[in-house]
Amino acid sequence: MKLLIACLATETNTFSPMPTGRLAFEAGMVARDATQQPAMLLSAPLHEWRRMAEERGWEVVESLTAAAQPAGRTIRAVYEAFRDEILADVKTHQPDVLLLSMHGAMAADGYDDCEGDMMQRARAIMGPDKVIGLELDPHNHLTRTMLDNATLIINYKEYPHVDAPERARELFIMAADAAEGKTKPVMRAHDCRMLTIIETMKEPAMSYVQAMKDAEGKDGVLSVSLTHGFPWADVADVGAKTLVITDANPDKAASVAKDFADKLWDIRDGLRMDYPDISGALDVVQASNERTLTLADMGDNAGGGAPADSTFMLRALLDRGIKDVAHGIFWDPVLVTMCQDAGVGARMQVRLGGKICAESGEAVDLEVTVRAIREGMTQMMGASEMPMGTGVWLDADGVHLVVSSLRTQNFSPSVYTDLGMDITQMRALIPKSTNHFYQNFAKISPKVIHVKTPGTVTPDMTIIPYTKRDGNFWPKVENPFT
Amino acid sequence: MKLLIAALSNETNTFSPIPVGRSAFAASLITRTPTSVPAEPFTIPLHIWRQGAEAKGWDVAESLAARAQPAGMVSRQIYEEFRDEILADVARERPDILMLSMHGAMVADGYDDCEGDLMARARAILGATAIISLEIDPHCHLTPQMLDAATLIVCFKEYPHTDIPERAHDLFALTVDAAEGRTLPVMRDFDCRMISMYPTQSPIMRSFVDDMITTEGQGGILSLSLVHGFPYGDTAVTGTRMLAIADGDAKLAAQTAQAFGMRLWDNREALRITWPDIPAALDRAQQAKAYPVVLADTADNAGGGAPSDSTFVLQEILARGLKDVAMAVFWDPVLVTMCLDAGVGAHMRVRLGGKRSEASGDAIDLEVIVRAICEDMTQDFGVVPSPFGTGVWLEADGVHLVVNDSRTQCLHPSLFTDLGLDLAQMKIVVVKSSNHFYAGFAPIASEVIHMASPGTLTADFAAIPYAKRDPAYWPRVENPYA
Repeated sequence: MKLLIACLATETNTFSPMPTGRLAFEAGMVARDATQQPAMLLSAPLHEWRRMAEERGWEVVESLTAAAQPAGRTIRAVYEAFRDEILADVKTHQPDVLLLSMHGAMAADGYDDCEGDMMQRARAIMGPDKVIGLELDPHNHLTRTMLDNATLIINYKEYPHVDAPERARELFIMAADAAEGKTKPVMRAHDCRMLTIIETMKEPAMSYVQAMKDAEGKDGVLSVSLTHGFPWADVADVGAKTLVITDANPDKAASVAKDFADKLWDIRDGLRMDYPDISGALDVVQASNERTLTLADMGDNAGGGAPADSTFMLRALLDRGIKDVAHGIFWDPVLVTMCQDAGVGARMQVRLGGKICAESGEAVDLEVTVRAIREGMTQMMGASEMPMGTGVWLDADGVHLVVSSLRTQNFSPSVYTDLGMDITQMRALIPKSTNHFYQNFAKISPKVIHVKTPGTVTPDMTIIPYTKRDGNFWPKVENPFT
Repeated sequence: MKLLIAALSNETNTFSPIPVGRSAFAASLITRTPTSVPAEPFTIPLHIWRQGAEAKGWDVAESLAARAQPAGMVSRQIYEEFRDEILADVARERPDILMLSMHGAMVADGYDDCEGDLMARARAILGATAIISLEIDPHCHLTPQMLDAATLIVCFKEYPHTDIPERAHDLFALTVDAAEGRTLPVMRDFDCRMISMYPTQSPIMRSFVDDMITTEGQGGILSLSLVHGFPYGDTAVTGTRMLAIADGDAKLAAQTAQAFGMRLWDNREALRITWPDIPAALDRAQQAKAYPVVLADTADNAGGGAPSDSTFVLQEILARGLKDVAMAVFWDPVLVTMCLDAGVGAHMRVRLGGKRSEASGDAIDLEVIVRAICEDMTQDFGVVPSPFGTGVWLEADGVHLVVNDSRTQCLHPSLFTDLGLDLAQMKIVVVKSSNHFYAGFAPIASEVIHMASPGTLTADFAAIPYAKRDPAYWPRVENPYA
């Protein structure tokens, strides 16, 4: 058997003003030897696939890995060049099995469905019988083109996405079984007519994930995936969908997909996003006797294409005079350089945040002390080490702010402790993140509050100005099935 | 004879929020082989001195050349490191002659007079009979320590500083005469008790400079320099001084310095800065019959330590709905990267300016088209090109904005034409510069108007909040001699 592996991934927030071009990919990862480098979220599957294939004595060909931090639409020429590089390798090597790690919500100028486009072209080269396996982030848009051209599609089940390597191993086994003729996978999807944020480390989603796992390996069901959907993309296929793979049984796949869609509908009230606003969340902090509460600044999540420099939360903290809080990660490479020039201990006048777009809010002028600077910082996201560049700890009279040179969401409280902060003395930690923060912060925090902050990815599905899909989805309408 | 040459240069605006450390120098110039790399304004003297010395058969040793773009206080550590590197070379090479290119207004944390400190230490190493020659910018602080330690000090005479090479030749000739025993230079200065700007294109300053030049070499006067002073450095000696060097005659030097100094004082009313504010300047530009009118945003001059991203002029231009306006340079490396990613022709939503400090004003949100991008640009300035980095031409519906990634003032129309923007089609050209722009722009302008804009470099010299400089200077008091 010959296996070809590749990765082309970004999550495209079509409402974000930051373009995703060659430099954005280079700031993320562009490599032809990704399995020789440390694994990050989207390249981790390639490490698994190479290892498992080599254990079986398969020949492994590695093509491009290109991943960019989520932002606006990918530049057409950049997408086409990366796509065509992978397709050229497919054509040259004619693999029996092609395994791809993609995001599933990548949109480029002229391409609302990059993954579908890639699948279709790969299928045209490889012919109908070869195996094409695709591993996706659940925040994808599951399209007809993807389903028609891939043999197998699997999503991460967890949000936070801690299970990418585990899902990669499952996909490999399914692909190997199909390639060796042991199974004949068929996929069916079902549109849930829902769009929400599904936190799988809490009920009711936790039990839902367990139910998906329990259904696998029984009655010919090979795999069950839930596409949560990526809300901040104006494409026709945005929305939650269930996806079931069975062994040669399309009716079974369709009925199980329908069952899981119904099951999601039934738990919708537990998935309703009734997050407090900034004022409500800060009331909780001020009333609390406990320390190290966690408040998520959901609206400014770099991982959803936000600039990570909005000031709405910071402004409110300053207006209320709340001290002993730590907030990050503000993306500002110019300020990082200025702090490096000033050095640790320097007192500085800084203008923080509000620099990229209207959704960043207004800049805040602060008198700060540079408390720490650390180069080459990383954060753990599951088993993956996510780079953040140079981090700086600024102390504005008890309001502790972390600034970074690379745009990234705040996955872990390690950012604060690595810079030398004693987080046990903080009343609250305030990561800019939608939900990936949860895994690491929940371990050190007596209470976690997701906060509905303004910004590029404000968690309110009812106000997103879609032009390409209808408004017939929950919670925009209470019953989209009538 | 053995000559050692070195350069250490920064103009320190002690009111600027941008610190100067290693990366600020690295972004401009750090080299141990300054005459083997292309000359820039502060290293061209080293090229000239080396050529002159080699023509005479002298040994030439070269030490460090380091320059940072003007900004705030220089970090103590980096100043001491650079200084000690030069002094170590002085101690090892033990030259007969030390020639230095410095700015004259460099302030480091703990050192209000970096030039005096460096020269005093060099003098201690070399002893009383060695020659120490210094070429500096007229926007300097001339201190007793500098006068005590140096044998010869020569300032550029022109503002715009178009005469750096000529003054380097002058200083070399003076140095040769002193080294070969033909002259015995004696320096005396006169405190004019004035703080202002003295563009040398005005008729009064033109004749002042011309008369300095014709007086040199006559009746025992070796050299005359007008120290304009750098108003935005808070030191005890900030202000305008007249420097005369006579051959062995201290009294002649003192008398000549006083005579020229009092001539400046007597002309103060004609030299008084009475620039219009932004609305008044735009009124004039809108009434113009010939184009382009060049307006200088003097307060946001990167060459004086400003962030070069203030929005006061742009706000007014947009409020008035003016078109066919070109404006340069907004410093924003992050936006440059975003434009590189988006590519030429892209439509973008950008947030421009207002990003560094309160003196930057408020950011402006614009819809723009990326009209051109040019990497590794330079601007014409005097005889050597000045580095510019990557330039981007953005058009916001008839308002043409140049953004770059290397903080520098707008020196020459070449930066527009290199991007393909034809200034002949513009009605108004706004340059962020105090006066260096004048040499390049006056020839293409129908009219040049310096504006008293708000920002880092106020033209209201009476209002600068000095803590170390006593207030007995004109125009803060009408008669500081009383």
